[in-house]
Amino acid sequence: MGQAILDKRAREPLLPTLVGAGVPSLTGWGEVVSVFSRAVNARHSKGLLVSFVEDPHAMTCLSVCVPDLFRSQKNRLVPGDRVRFDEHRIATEDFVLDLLMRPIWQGALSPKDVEGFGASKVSLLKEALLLKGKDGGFLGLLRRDETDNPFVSKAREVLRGVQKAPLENAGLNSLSGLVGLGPGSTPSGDDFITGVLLGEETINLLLSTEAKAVAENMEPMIPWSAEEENLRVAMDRTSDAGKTLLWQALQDRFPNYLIETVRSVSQAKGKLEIDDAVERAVSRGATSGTDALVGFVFSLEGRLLRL
Amino acid sequence: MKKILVRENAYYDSVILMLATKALKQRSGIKEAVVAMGTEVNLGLLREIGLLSGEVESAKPNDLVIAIEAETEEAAEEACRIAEEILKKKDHGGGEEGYCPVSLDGALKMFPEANLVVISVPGPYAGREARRALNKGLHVMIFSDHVPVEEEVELKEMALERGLLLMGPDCGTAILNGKPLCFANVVRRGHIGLVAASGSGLQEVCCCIDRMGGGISQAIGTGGRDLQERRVRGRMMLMGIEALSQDPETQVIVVLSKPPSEEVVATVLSKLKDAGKPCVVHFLGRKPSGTRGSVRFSGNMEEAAAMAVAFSKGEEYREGCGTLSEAEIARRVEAEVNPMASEQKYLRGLFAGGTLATEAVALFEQEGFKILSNVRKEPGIALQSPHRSERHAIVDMGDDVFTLGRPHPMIDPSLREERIAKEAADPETALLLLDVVLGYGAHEDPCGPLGESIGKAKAQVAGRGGYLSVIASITGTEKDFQNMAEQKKKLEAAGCLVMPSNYQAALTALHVMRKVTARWM
Repeated sequence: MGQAILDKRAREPLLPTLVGAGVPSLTGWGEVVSVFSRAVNARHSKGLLVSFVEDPHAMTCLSVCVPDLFRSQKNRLVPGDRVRFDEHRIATEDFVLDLLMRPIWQGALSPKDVEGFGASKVSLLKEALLLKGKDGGFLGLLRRDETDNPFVSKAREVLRGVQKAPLENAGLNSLSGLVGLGPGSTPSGDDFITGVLLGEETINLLLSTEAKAVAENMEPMIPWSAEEENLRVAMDRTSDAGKTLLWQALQDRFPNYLIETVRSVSQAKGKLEIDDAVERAVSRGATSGTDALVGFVFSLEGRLLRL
Repeated sequence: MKKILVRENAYYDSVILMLATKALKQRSGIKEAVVAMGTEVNLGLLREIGLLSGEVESAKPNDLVIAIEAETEEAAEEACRIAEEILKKKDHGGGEEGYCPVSLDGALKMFPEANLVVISVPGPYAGREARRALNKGLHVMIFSDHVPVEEEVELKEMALERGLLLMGPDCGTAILNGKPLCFANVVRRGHIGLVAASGSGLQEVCCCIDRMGGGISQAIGTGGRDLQERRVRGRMMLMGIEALSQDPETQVIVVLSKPPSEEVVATVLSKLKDAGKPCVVHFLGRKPSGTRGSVRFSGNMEEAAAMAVAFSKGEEYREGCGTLSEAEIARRVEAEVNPMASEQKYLRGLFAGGTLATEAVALFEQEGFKILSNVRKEPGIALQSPHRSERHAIVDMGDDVFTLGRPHPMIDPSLREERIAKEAADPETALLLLDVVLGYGAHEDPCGPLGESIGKAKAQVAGRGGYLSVIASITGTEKDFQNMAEQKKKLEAAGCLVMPSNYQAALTALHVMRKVTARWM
């Protein structure tokens, strides 16, 4: 019935200003699940959240930036509204988004984004994070002191398992053991893992071919060959928001605010600029920005020095 | 004592969840509190720390789980209530990044017990939203203007068929069952019910009633055209009167309107006569015509309030109560006029409230002054440009020409500040007549910036050897958040004569202008 309704009605096409690279591949039905003042989330049948956002800074590769949606009284969505994804077209009862020929937002780091990165910057980043990061999520992982946060205790336990786990037996005591762990609609563990994957991608882009060869002989923090598959399986054990974030990160796609943070830190000429970049990132969500940066530091700390 | 709450498919912003966790943990008697999504690993953790019960086993990754361990059952219950309250507040759009419904359906999903909808969208869309609300059995208040009159008639017909209120379009004020809506003041509850086709007028009468010791049962707005436009035929005014006649809390009915259409007046009066309660009527711009059965007519808004208060106490109304003595008025007038320069001739009224401006215009006209104003549309008395005063002028600065793309002067006083400076620069300006409206929706400190502008204007006029008389009234109550007493002090400190009502301010200005006119005629 929904299909018939959508097809019969004449709807005004809206032109997005940016389309996340992952959106045009989606087909099938979705449903609006949450509406905020500057973002609307629709759950695709695959369990991924596609966001319609007003601000290009809020882009992810599963977002569509469509400011007109938030300016018009006509094109409003409410929880429960049906959304049809048809590759280059997204349709609701009231409007159609035409994605064809619209600028695509990749959500990937480029070598230029990371070219100024180095061990000293990771130290400054960590310092700023300890100072400005928000408590409640995984910030306690960096502090290494006693904690009364049960999520941090649990995360430490899991991560100790990661460091001990042999490659062929990553299992539950691995990074994937953090999936879905922690407070927040995107559990802290999912943000943390995204940060770790962002760190891995940063290193990957940073290293020259020769350095990569050296790095391959070093023990990685995470046994990636097994771990990537574990993470893909574990994704179904977290919330839709967490799953969406991990799905993107496993394809080396990251939310814009994280890419902007890496870029700002890379280009920073001093401590103050890094402080500012961290301050902007940790303002994201309740602890999402903090948790992702903790993962990022966790992934890079020590490794850049060793290279 | 442990308590678990599970909310299925709860898409909450992380900030809200964090606020809930923090609020719970800070409460005395709470040993542990966890607010998290029902993921497998979170449930495992809850089990490990002993918070898991059978209830939560069924939670899924998109369900919100609130787990509380408290010292007593009461503390646990209270914590659950607090958590629900925070999440509900978010449901209603609270919190910086909280859910903000973008449609009526969305709002009703979040707040299903609502029975009234306030619509404030661009005029062309207001009718559609109102129709949706009426079809859902909800009372409607349309704050928006620019709704075609044909649509207003259709909507009011729909509302009447369903026994629902449709206040507006362009309805900015109401108080229903003690709940202020849009621009409204904090007034005492009582037994006087009002129906008004006038926003600032309704505020003024409510505030006067409060000051005189009376209280409000209901204050229903109808929108300015309800009585003025013959096609609307006072539909909502009649329904409002009917509602108040049946309301057991209401003992006295007050009807207030800008100049009404002649065809509608008779119907309204007939309805009032059948209401079975004492009624007070004030139609702006019409002279009172005594008593018709239980219906009394007042000459101004303050008098309407005084009559209503007297009737609600079972007393007879004594004319003149609440106004200043002749001797006191004369003393104040002398003090204002004597220092003026000879070229100072004209009254300049700058109003935020349309009805307050209309009341002032009506009073001056009754006394033979020709006032140019944008509240008048007739050729010869309409201001050629509301942006420029000529001769005696009273300007409603809440008019659309001033508010297009700018906040209303009740919200943002800056436009009036600029205009005060402009009037002060005119050597022929003798008197500035102003209103200030307090209450919900209004500027948090309107007399602060206004007082500064008045001070500068007076200094400018004094600098060229004259004296600028400034007379104002404040529509508000002591309980309004702006602090009435403080606001009054700020105007007085600037040398402004502050009168207790709009009518008294206009009357005092009239006395001043009579004397000024006598000097140069």
